[in-house]
Amino acid sequence: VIRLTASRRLLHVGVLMGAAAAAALAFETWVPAVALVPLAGVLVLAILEVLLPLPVTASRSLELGDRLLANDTTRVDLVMEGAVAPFNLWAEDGIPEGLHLLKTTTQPVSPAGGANATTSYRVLARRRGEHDFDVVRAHRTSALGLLDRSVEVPAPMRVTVLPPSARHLAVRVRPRPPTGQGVPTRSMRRGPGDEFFALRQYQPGDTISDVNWKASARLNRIITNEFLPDEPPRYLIYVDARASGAEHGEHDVFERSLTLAAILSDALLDARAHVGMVLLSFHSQFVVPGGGFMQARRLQRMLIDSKPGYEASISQLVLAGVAHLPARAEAILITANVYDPTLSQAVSFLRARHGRVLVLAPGFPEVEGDDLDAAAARAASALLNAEQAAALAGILPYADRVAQWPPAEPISVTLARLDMSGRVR
Amino acid sequence: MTQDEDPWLARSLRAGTGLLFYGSLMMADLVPDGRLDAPWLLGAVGLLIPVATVALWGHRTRPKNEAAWWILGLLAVVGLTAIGQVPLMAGLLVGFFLVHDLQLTPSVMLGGAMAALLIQPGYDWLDARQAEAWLVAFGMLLATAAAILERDRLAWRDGRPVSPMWTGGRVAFVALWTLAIVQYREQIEAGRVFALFGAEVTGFAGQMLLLAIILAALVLAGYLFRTRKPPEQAPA
Repeated sequence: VIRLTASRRLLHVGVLMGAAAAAALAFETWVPAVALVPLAGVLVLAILEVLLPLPVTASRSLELGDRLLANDTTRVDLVMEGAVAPFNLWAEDGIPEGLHLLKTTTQPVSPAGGANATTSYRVLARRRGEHDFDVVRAHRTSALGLLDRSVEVPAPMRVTVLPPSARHLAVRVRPRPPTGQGVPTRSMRRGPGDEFFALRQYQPGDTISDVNWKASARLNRIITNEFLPDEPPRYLIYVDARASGAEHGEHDVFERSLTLAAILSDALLDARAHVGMVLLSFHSQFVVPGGGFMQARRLQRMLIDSKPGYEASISQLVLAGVAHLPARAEAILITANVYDPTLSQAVSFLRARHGRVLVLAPGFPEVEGDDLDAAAARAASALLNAEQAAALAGILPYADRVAQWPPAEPISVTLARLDMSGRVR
Repeated sequence: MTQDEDPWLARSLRAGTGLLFYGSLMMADLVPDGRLDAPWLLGAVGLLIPVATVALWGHRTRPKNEAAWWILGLLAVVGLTAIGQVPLMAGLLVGFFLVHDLQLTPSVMLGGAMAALLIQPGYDWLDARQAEAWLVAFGMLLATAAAILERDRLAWRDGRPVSPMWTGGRVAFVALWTLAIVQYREQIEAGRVFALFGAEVTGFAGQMLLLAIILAALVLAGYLFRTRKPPEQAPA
């Protein structure tokens, strides 16, 4: 669709020409009318400029490739082909919602060999997900900006913005040390495994407590028990992905829940734990716990594609979900609705299934002061105390980055205090 | 390097444009035998007053779309025109628009220069000759060039840079156009176009035809202006 528009300045020039012509008429002489001559020249030039051909195809390339991390800044190079005389050409790119244009860095449209023209600008990857560039509107603006002719040039492109990664945010967590089910431990040292494997001869350095005295007496040598290595700690991250979470206030708590889930899963996988994830909505989605690079990719893909789902009571969603998932994992429930009346029931279901539950609520960074954070934390704390759910000890030793209570007490994490700028590359 | 990062770049560009516009104001004070008529410095005084106010009081002197500013502006325009100081008025107006980077500056430049050139108290246009035509055309040419430069500078400042070669090319086109038209006025024989429609240039029918052309141009401009203003920048 080619569009021709005229600016207000064309009206001004028209009025001026009228004034000069009126003066010429009033004085019955041609001399004042020569003031029209440069203006007529500008008008002729404007029409000629606007009639120059517009580009036919365009293509984009991103400096960092088509996969970006959230909060990345990248340069976008726009090449328009078939652009004769690119000097009065400028482009208006339809930037998708998840990318944010950084305005101070526009470059001039310049010739780039042949009939091509290039321009570049910088964008900030603001929001995880898959974003589609659609059309470029190429404009020709004439002398004095009098006339403007523009055309839409198709230039489809898909950019994937990955959720923030714990490694880039320099966030580390220590998973709970592997121990038997339900045995509280104060030490973070890796203990011995708890599953018997075989007997073998005692060697210097073995623990005295592992010596199998009966077998030693029988064989007249010192024999110790050998245990299998531990299973890695397993976590299931339940993310409240209901629409009410997304619409809570006018701020995007859904996105912040996902950010928190992404950072947590990334950090836990990095610490060699096994992590699974559940997006709780009317159509819940599951990824069973696993470890390693492929699991990280699976969780990343799930987070990229996730959208707020339909509404249902969170206790019913949890109840429907937990039966399908391995029990021997610890639950992390991320929800922004700490005032949800059925949340305590949901936590009790999780407690019955998994033993340990941690409830995390993304913070409210728009509120000055800590009032709302404190209220949310108090609510979560009261909730957990009432249900006597044990908190995961030592999962978030960020020290000053997040609010942390002593490990014996419930922990609630507020994402608002997470320093997003302190990232390392 | 952008104009926001380097204030002296913007200042020197503004000074250049202002100087060009002052040249067009001086054309109004020139008389055909080459000597400058009396108050030729008043245009420069008008251009420098806003610079002084900005240096003293800064951003507060920026004209706004408020009743007080409209009344003050109209008083200045009407009063200075009434006492015959049109170049001072044009310089003052353009100076205020220029130092505050207002979008309307090119239009005000064209209008101010035309007012200064055509409203000359005590001047009898009936005696005007080819020499006066040259002065008017050259003054308008300087103002148009200043307006083109200022418009491209504003476009650059708002993030849409215009290459200097293109700006220069357009100024050169308008300059050549002006010189050619004024030089070959006799040969072009605009009167023949009027005669084609059965009207004589100096007669009543010719005047009515000219008036009709003006009205048609205004209607056309209004028709084109009816469309929406194009967005200046890609949406954020």
